[in-house]
Amino acid sequence: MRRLVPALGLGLALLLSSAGAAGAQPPQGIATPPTLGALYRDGQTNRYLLGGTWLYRADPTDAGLAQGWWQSADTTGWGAVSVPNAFNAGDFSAPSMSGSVGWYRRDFLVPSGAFAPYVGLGDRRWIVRFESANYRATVWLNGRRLGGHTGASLPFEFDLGRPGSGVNRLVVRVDDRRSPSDLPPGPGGGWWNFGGLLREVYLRPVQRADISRLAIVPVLPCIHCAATITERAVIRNLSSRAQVLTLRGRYGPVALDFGTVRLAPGATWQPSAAATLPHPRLWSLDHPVLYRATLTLADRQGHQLGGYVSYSGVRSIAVTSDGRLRLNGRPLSLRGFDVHEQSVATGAALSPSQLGWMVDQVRQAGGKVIRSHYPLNPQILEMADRDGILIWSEVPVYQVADQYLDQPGWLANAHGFLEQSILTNQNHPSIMLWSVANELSTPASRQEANYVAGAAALARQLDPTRPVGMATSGWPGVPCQTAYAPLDVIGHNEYFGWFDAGGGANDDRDQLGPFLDTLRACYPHQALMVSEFGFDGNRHGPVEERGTYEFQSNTAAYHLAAFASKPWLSGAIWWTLQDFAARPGWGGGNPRPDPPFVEKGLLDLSGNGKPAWSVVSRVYHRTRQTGSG
Amino acid sequence: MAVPVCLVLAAPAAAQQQPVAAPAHTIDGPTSGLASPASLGLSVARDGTGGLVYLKQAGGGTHVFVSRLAGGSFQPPVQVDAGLAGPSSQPVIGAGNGGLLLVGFVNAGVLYAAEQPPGRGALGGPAALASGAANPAISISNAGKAYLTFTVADGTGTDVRAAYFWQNKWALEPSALNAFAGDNAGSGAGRPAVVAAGDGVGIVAWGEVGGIYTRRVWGTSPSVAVERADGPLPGCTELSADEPAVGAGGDSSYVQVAFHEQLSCAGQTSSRVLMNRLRGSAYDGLTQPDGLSGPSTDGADDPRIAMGEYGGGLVTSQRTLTHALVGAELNDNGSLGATSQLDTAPGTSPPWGVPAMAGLYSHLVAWQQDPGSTGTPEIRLRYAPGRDPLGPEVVLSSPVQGPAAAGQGSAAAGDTYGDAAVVWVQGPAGAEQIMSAQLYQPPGGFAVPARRRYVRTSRPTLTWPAPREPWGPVHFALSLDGVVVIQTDATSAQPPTPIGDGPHSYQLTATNPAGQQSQSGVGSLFVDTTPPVAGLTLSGVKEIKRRIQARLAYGDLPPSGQPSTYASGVASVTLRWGDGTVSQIKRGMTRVAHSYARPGDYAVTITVTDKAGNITRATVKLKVKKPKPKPKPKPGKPGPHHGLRQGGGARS
Repeated sequence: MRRLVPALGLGLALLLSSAGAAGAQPPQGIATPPTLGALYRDGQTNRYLLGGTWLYRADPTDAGLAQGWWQSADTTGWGAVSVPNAFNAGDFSAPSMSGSVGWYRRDFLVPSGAFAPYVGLGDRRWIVRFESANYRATVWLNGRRLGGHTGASLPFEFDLGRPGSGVNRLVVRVDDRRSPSDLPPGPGGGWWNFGGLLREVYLRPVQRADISRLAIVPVLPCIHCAATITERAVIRNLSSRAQVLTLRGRYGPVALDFGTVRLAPGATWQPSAAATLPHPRLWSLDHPVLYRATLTLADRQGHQLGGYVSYSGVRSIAVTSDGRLRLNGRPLSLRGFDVHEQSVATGAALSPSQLGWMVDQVRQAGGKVIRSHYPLNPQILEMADRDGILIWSEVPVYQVADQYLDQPGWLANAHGFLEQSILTNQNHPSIMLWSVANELSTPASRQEANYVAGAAALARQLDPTRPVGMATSGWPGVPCQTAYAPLDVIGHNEYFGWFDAGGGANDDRDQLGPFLDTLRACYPHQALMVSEFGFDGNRHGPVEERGTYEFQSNTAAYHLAAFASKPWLSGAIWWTLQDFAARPGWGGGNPRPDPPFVEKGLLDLSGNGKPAWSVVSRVYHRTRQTGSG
Repeated sequence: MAVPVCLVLAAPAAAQQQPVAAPAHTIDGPTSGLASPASLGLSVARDGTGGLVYLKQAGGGTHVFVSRLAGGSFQPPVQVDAGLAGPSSQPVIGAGNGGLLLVGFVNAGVLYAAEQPPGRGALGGPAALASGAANPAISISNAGKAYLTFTVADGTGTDVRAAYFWQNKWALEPSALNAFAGDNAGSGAGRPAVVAAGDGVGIVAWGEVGGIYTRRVWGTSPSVAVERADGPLPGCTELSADEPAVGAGGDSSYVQVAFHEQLSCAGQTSSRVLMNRLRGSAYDGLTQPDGLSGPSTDGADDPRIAMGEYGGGLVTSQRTLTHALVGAELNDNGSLGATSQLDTAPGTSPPWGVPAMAGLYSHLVAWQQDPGSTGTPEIRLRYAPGRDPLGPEVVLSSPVQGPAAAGQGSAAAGDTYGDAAVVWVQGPAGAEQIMSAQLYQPPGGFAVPARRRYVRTSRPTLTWPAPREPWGPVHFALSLDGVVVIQTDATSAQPPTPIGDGPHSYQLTATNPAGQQSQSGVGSLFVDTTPPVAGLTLSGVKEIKRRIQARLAYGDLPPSGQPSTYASGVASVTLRWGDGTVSQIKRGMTRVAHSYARPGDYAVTITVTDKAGNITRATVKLKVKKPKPKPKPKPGKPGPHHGLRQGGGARS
């Protein structure tokens, strides 16, 4: 069973789950309790990180299901790993890219002291949350199937019910074989297909009711206006009896009263509350002020049932009729980096220190915007919140063939992904827009036009406070695209002088400036950004030779100068911060490539800065990324 | 992240096919004045504009003439070097989109360049670029950047130099390109060759002290890297290399350099054509596109390269003994493909093969087939459309003009749509001509509006877009109901005779100068010259604030005696009440009511418009009055309603 909707998914899982203790004894030292605390600040209070030692077992012939690997306590064939984990990290073979099946297992003990003494044993439930599994995950607890989930980069949850007091065995089968209708399409694709549990796994104790979700919508009518803070929560009654629940919150100095409700068993309450923040301190690139927002859920007796913490920012981000993207009314000329969550050693499973290093590099280089092809790790988003970096948040609708764009099943999947991305990440002030796709066909097909219109409408319905964007391709001679009309921000991935498009129409970098002008003429009222530009550098050599450090530096400076001459351009994003693995045999326009790696990074695979790093960094720091109103 | 969009996003021109050659025609001659050789040069830009350059006697000396290729036709030749004393030599020509032409030549040891800017301007006068110059070669990129390479005497020999053209300006490179400053570079058979890659980088190849060297130039900046292309084959000793030819596509990363090399293999001297691909700034290693292997009494020379946007194309060479023409296919990024003999009949003299691109992938080769005493030398061609292999031989020349003389000059070039031109010298000595054969792809597709068009005239003006045909003019035939009714070169026409009411179909057939055709889709036309009918009656009390009802009658009728389907139908009905109120009448609606606020005289008008735009109106005049005052009720006899009203009044 797929779980695209974490909170709603819990409902059915709840009815199904009441797993008993495992029967077999695991090896000594394997079964340990999770540790209290979370790596991310935002979320429910009282989370436990299910780290420690996990077991992993490769299933290259996909025999595990038939052989019932989820139900055996035997550890023969399993090896110890830590999670996050990419089971094919370091394997850059073609079969690795094509995908396979791997099984994860965590034997754990329920931590003591997770519940207050007054919580009855029957009310002591646990929820497991997977922050990301690529691509299809099926989960069992103590041999009982909890459900499944499809799609990476977004969290999903299952209600574990009341695990036993002994050893509990959580088993996850992860299958990263992707089809052309998946997101991103497979097999293959634009970046390495790392399978596994790519982000952390958490447990959280829940009593009779759970704060499943909190949406915070700060609205700033004008720069010197009071802000209106509207919060919407999703509360579920997990128990089998009606309950009287009270929800209260704070947003910085102001209180929010959501009221009290009598909630039927299994029912969901979606209360909202609003408050006025008279003199808000605005979140900006230079002063990213955050307000601590909290929720407290209590029962009739005043016993706390759950809590939620989030860090929010008050700012406005919008596109004005002059086609400028503005933050708090001030026009933006952003400079930043596209990233992939990858390392050679650990694949797409990055540790907090790796993620922190990545954001730190962006900041050091003067980057004020980060983009990826998929929703970013929550830790990156939280760091961006704190550091005053904007996020171009995109869903992996990546170079999808037209034939899928109007298939009902595909559309439901894509829209579902977009919806979950917004619902999951909308509280981050760093997120500046929702991008609905990357590089669909050019010129846009009828199917593409329909998809863009539908996805943009959905994004606006879910979050009217942010622009909607998309990354596109184009070249001289492509006419203005009416399909882009629903977009507020049009990103253009430009590789003038590198990739060949349109039969050589963008071979020569001197055609970039005139081309940007034609783009502006096509879309005068929409904000335009260069969502990608970048060039390989993997060796020293002549400046005119593609792929040399000298070429990379020279070309970076040239393109950045071209951008600087277009004051209406709302931003430009270098592809990519660091070299990464793309796919087997990747050449990518470099006559001396190093497959499978894309070497357009300003940092090499080891994290060392290339000569272009200082070129780009110097320009970025010099660029006034926030203009005057 | 983007991927190489040539694979996933590029939308090149429609699939190309074997072209059709229009009959060869004369550009100049017959004349005794063609120089020997005439040094023909031909360049065609992607958009089909271009030009031919050659040498001809004029005013007692040899001078440079250019025939522009504009609108698909070679224009009357004009002299480029008028005003320069003494003979000119070694003309070269490069064509850019929009009609840009650059012509280089040598006169009295000075290298001159003349420019015809894009548009309809004339060729400008020549400007001196360098003294002591010789051996020019030119190449121009799709973006209009040109490199002109040449040699300059330096006292002990010659240096290889280059000039860069961009945005109407020439600039000389700051230093010689030679591998070694003191070398005699680019002289004799080592004359330099150049190609401008699509990315704006020029690659120059030349002979220097028996070797073949290359160097990139980016704008006016020569590369720090100089590479050597030649070398010995296994088991052989290299004696010398010359005749460099160089090819590149859009990406200067992949450059093929072919050259002639003398080798000593097992004590026997061998003449070969070898090739080496420059990838980045390093050569991949020697390849052998001449088809020779092992010991052979035959040899190869005259290497030539045509390379397209993605590196595909053709390398040709000719055998020194059998005069066979040999070609090696180039695949993506210039990688070497299969090698084969291109001509099928034995020749008794060199074929002088000239390969050329005619599209992103399409390419061709033309050569002279000399049967010796059994016939007349003729010009032949093979063409490879798209990624298909070369097609069959086609004879381009006609014996009417006499024997072909490709040794005096021949050249070939094409646009990006698959059209190509081949030029050559033909005719007996003293009565030679410069001939041209143009090869055409069919006109591009074109569409007429898919939706039915309604007209209210029996001789409507029909318009249509011109199909792509860079080498027009295109001739159109308009078919109406399956019968051709008019032929025109314009993109609009009226049927010569009236056409009857009712539905019609029409279609255009476009024909290019080679007789190739493309058809538009079928358009739908509906003629309705008969106006609709309209009627109006009013009823009701003609007082203000009273409902006045209009009864409407309307319809669209066919001409007398024709079925109802010959009427286009009612498109809209409006009723104007005369007081500014307009009622839009929905289809089928026959009654509508209105009340006036003010008394007065009103003209109520129904307007019926059919789909063809015929309009019929009908008007009824109306006088609206104030109501007469009601008589006061008699005292003591209130009616029930009056009583109520009064009661209401009492409440107030």
